[in-house]
Amino acid sequence: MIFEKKRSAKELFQTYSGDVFNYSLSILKDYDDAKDAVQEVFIRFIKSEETFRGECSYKTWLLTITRNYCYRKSEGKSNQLQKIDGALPNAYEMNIDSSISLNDALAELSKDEYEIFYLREYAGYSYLEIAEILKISVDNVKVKLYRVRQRLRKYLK
Amino acid sequence: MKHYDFEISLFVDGELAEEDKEKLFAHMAACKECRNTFEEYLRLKEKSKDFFIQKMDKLKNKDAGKNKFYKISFYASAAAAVILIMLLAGGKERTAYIAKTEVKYDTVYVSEKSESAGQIKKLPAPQAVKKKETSKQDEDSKIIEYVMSLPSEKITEADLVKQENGSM
Ligand SMILES: [Zn+2]
Repeated sequence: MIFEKKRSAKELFQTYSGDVFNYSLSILKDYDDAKDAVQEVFIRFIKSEETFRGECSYKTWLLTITRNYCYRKSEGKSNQLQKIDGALPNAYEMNIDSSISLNDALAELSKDEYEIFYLREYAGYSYLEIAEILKISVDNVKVKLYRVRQRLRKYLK
Repeated sequence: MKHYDFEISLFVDGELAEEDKEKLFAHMAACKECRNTFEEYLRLKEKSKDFFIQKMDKLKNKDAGKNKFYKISFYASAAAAVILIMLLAGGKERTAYIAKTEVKYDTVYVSEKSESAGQIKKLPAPQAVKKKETSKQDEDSKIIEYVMSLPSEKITEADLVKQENGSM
């Protein structure tokens, strides 16, 4: 259990709004939606602050709220609209391995793989933080990252 | 022989326990294959990071791709840009940075071609932004000078839709 001294919403906003924004953007893939998400996440945080028991850090708690909010939002969105880029042929599935660049392979990662790789390689979070955000064990984080790497390394030139 | 791919994955993340490092190093000293894995994982890490940075930057600048305008943002970033200019020429983005830490000031759109060359509206001098320091290339400062000299106005979203001309 991590003990953390109580911090004000304002202070947390100053420290973590960038993290919340980037994580939102990585899920929602839309700048304006991600900006909205930051507001929504902090509103939810303030409303639920009383229930925070310090079982994780403020940071991972905020990012958990972010994750929940963004996935609900993106589900709602894909129900409303037909996904346009979903119509594109999946180059990754269609081609032979050798003709695919690493960037293509990265772009074609599954949602889960993409997310955990984002959290590690872009956001730079520790295994423990990632485990808390994704609600999985640290051992599971280790295995998942290892598997993604094993799969991607063959696309290195 | 047991190889150490899994441990190497932890190691490049800085998450391998101290007591396991010794074993890993001893093995790597003797095993070319694992040294190769290590090298590949490091490269993969670097390239993956670049990929995410590019992708995220693109998402953050998506508005710039929508129209044939220069988008000028006066930024506040501790690390980087006061002025970020997206030059959209033939669908190719160009970014010029002036490094200095300031608060975000404003974003304006400047039309690429000036029909009304007569009246030049100067951008208001932002209070927070002091004397700008050009970070590097003279070329960039020339671009900024040029853009600053163009007639400019704040353009609403409706204007952009109306005036949009062959987006990328
Ligand atoms: Zn080995």
